[in-house]
Amino acid sequence: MAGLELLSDQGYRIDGRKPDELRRIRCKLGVFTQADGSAYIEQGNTKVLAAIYGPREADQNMRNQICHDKCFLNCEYTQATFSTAERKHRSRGDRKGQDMSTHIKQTFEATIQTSLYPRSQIDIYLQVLQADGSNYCACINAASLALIDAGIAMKDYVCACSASLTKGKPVIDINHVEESSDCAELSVAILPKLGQIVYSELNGRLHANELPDVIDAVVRGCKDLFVVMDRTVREHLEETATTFTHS
Amino acid sequence: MLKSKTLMVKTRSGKILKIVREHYLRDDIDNGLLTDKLDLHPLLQNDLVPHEHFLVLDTNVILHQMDVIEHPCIKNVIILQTVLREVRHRSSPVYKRLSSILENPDKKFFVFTNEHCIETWTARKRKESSNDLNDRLIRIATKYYSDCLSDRNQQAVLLTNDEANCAFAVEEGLIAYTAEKYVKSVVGHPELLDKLAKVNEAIEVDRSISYPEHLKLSQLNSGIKTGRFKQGKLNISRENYLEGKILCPDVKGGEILIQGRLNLNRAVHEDIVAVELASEEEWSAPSDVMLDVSIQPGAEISDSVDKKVVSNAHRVPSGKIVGIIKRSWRPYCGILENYGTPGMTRHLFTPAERRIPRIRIETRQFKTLIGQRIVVAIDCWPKHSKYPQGHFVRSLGEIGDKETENEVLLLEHDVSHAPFSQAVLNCLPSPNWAIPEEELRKREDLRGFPICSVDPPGCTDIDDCLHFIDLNDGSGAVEVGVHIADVSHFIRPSTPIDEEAKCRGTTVYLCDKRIDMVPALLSSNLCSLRDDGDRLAFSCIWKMSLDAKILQTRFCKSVIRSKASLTYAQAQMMIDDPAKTDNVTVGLRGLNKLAKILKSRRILNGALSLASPEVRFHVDSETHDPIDLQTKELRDTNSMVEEFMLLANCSVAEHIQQEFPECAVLRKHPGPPPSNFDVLINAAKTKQLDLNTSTSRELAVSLDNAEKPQPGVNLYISTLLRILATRCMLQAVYFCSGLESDFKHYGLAAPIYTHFTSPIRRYSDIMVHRLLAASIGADVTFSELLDKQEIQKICNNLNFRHRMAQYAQRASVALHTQLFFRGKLVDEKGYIIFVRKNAVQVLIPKYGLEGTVFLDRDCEGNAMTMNNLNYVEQDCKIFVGSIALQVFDEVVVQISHDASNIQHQRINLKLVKPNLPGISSVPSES
Amino acid sequence: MELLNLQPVESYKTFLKENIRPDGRELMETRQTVLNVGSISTADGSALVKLGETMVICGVKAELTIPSAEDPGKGIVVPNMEMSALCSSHFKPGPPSEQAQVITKFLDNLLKSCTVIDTADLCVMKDKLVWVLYCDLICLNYDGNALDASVLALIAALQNVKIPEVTVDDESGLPHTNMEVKKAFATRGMPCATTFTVFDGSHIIADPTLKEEDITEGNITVVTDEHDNLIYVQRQGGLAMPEAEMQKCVKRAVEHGSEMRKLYLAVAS
Repeated sequence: MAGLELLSDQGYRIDGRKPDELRRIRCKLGVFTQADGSAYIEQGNTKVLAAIYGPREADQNMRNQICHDKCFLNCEYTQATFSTAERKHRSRGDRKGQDMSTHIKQTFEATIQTSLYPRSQIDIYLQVLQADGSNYCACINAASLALIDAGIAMKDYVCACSASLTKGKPVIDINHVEESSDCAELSVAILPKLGQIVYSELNGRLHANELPDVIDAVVRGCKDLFVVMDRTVREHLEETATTFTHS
Repeated sequence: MLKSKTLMVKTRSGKILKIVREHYLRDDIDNGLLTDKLDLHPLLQNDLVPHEHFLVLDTNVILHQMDVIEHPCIKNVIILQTVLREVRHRSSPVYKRLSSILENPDKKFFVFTNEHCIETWTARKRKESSNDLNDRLIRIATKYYSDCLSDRNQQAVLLTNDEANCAFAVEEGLIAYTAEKYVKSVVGHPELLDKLAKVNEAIEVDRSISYPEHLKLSQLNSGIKTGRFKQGKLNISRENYLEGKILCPDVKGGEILIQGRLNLNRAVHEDIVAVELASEEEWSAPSDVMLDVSIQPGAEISDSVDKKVVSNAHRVPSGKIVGIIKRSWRPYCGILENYGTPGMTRHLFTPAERRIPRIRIETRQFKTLIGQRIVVAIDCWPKHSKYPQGHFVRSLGEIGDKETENEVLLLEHDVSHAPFSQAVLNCLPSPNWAIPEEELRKREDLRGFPICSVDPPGCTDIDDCLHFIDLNDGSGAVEVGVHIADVSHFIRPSTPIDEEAKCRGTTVYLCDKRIDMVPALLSSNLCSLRDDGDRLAFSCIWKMSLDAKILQTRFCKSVIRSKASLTYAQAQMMIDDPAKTDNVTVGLRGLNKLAKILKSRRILNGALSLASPEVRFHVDSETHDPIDLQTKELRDTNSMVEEFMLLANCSVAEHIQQEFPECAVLRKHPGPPPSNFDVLINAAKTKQLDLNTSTSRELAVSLDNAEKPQPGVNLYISTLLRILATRCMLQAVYFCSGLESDFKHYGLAAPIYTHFTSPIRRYSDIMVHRLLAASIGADVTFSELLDKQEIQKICNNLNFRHRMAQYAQRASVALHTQLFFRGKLVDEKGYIIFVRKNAVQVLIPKYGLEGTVFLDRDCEGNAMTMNNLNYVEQDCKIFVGSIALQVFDEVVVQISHDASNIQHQRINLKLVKPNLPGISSVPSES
Repeated sequence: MELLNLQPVESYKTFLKENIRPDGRELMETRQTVLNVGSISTADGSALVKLGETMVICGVKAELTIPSAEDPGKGIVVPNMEMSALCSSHFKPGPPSEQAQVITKFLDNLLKSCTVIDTADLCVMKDKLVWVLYCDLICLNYDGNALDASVLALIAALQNVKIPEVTVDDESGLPHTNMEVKKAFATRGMPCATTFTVFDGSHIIADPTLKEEDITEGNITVVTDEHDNLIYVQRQGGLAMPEAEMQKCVKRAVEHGSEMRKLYLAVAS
């Protein structure tokens, strides 16, 4: 669909949002029983599942990576073949998947208090069921919630959001259409309470003068996301607490 | 609230994709009724609607009735997001016009985002087409507005030309009318009726002609894909308006010829058309006949192209137009033809541009409009109508009146000449602006240098100054500086003044007027490097040896004080006067010497010096009528300034290309293809002169050789050859260095070139200034400066504006020439520069005038049957009986002003010598 | 609970004595099944099945392709099952495990033998253009008996598929898609699978959980269709089983089948 205006003159995007609005977010914790911690997040049409196994004894083939004073993380990111408009068979270990996995691993290595779990391994598995832009951010958010569900000690929540610049205005939480246009795309993961940026990635060209505005917008988006995630966690806790007290 | 939109899209590779998009519905969308974007009480009254009302427009109304909508009385209109999107998709020129209306707050047009408003959104019903869905969305939005307005006792009226939509709307209880019905009952503005475009009905049906049906777009597309049809832009010949061609790389010769009314099949100049190639037996040749309707006003050219026996060698691929892919209609200036009874409402309009056919319009104002220049737009061209149909847009003024003709000239060449808008004027500093302290600190202080400027007399926008200093350091080196007005300091990027300058592209110099690119406060005062005070400048300073080799180059932003604003004549006098020894004169002499060395070096490299007959008009200061002509003289000082400007441009080009290899703004001049020179070489051969056109250096040498006196060869031949050579050249263009690889400038024989020295009158120079300033750290970059695609887009616009400005300038000279010759009859010497089958083209150097002398007409101008015309193309000769006329022959012609065709007033040339019986006229007394 | 983990076999026997299983079910009772279709909007058809805690999602994507030489008038359906390390700690990251491959082959055989979708329906133009349906199943949470869940998910997803009509233009030979009209494929049979395992050579239990799978041997899977016909029976390893026991399984399978069919009909509307 050539010629789609990403931001109309009246200030609305293609899907009707204003530039600083997030998509509809729905998340749930504890969706699987097998995994130690699990979460499901829906950001608009991007649907991601996260499952955490661990801390547990290190695998046979990972033996060489054991550290005596901290645990090591293993992350695997897979995207279902039916997740995009065009069916794309992604083989295991393809470059993009590896790339994402490494980035997510690094993000959480900075956040999880690894010194509390020596000689063990924590596995993070992410499955993207439907991809509609901001895949990396949805994965981070899902993994963050799943880690909380698993009860693994972290410094803070990790909230991630993406942003782009169109017609001189930063727009946050971009979907697939906005991603595939020519604009630059910035993904940032922050620790909201500590106010620190854990991970950031910029795709495309952005002029140095325009960068501060975009970063401001993205950090605000992350903070909004944090509010939603926090509320979900608290609600889930209340539910589980009531089941415990009743049973 | 979130809804989902699902679409199935077919990709280019044939895959079918299912695309799912989110669609959020909001409850906080402004409907404009309580803001000041819409009036509280709309004023427009209409007999059909009892209350005050707001208008909601459908897409087809906007696409076809733009002129009605632009009328100032149409206000308080609601444009829906659905409609806006459709307009954008279907026609970008109409969308541009609509956008400029939307930006104008006085028109009170409001855009309502109806697809995201929870109250006006609806899902697609089963098996509903997208057109039906859009119509339904429009009706729902209109109902929404009706409901909102009902408590204010006002109404919303839907205007649509779609009968079905109208009927549905009325069923649903809405007020809906077709645009025509509504406009007919508007109170107080009868002129609106004339502006109505008649899209559906034919004004008149002509029994005599029936054009073949145009094929549907889908058939055209599949035909083009299979190669049956060829696509191209139609280019109507300047000499023959019933003949045109399209460029097509895969046929012999690269062009397809289209001749005759039926083959042209209602296509207009510059339309994008689909052509079917005819079989080889039917191929024909471009006619050598010059067809000019304006010679005999009202004359109908018969369509029968004499099926002359055309030899096979001359046949070129020909074809016929089977369908129109894209129309390129625009409003045209012209006049109404004076026939028919005054009571009639249907009239024929003749455009000023000869390549556009006549247009039929309907108007009641015939009495006032006859004798005026008017603007008309084409609406449609039905099959049974000989001419296209259109409607009146506005009137410009009396024919022949200088102001009106100037206006027509500027409109036809798309030169923006409206006064600068308030937003632009707001960007200007106050008139008592003085250089602020911090600027002085940031810049180099060159106020003590012997700087002066040399310009034509009467010039107020002084772009450039020079200085020359002998460094006296024993090495014989000298310092030369070129200082250019620092316009980019005043015009900051992305401001209204910058946008306006970007759009205008260049200052247009007409004979009596100058259309400025930037407001006069800057061009003639603050930026202009006058000698009455300190000015900001951008300097290029060289350390040179005495034989004009550059040892060092540096650029800096500076403050200068020009010591003298000289004219060419004054500067020449100072140089020649041995008594003057002040440092400005010494500087001028030094510059002059260096300039001569630079010039000879350039010529050695192959730079071309081509002549063009330039004349300048002395204009009477009161009536502004031209009183005399003056040919431009070239003095030493002209050449001196030119040399240093070229040198500065070259130095800057090298520098910005180094610093910004991907996004430098440069200027190139591609060498002409050898075929362009064929006519020139042929003409020279007739005088036994051989021209070598392999490189520019060879050409320059050949042209110089032609100046040597030869027996039987007129001395003026060499000048004529140079003039003809100019016409073989291609245009020089601006481009972005990251997108092209060939930078050469053929005419100047320079490997790299740009425009740096005239930022006051050219926008490209402003762009180069910004790049240069960023490279020396004197200014910051910004994203558009470094965006290749953006730069190329701007370059394309600048090239277009430059071309249009040249045409406009030429047309202005032609206009003034006509005014000059009004009431005069002059005999003058001229030279034949081109021979055709039925005419010769003559150049009159004294007036810089070029015209056609028809050989198939008698001295009164009536056509004659010529059976003693013998055209020998090889020798560029034509025999009339026994008398021969060959290219470069000297002739005497009688120049007169012919006002018989009021729209195309022209200069008539009649042959006096050689005396051709029946054709030539009697020499005049003067 | 601890006993179940420390000494699973012994404690299980104690449960069996009461004819009940640790999660409160009877021996032949199957777990509660939840079926959800159309959740993945990018897929042409999708279904999510929750059989107890076992969760399997199936997404179907349709593409156009040239048919094979042997069957020029038939389309193709390609199932693929993935059981990654995500769904259970039993699985290690790496190439697809044996179990996933077995299930894939099972589904493939099932489709061929049962003709759930008539592949002739998938043909657009003989010899030129046919549809190929890629059915990708992902196991999200593995708590035993992925086989039943995947059969359910696959059939429901195929029922849910809607693709636009494609006709081939005679003149140019290019396919012409009618985006507005969508049609579903007729699914026949509505097959349904039931899996049983044998504990300790004597007890047959239906629909085992993961813990039960670990301590039992031998699987038997029976697939029935809507007319209560047997379509497919698979018996994998373990101890020998007398005929009477087989009959019991088949009978239970037929009952289970009719219960499941109600689910299919409920989502089909």
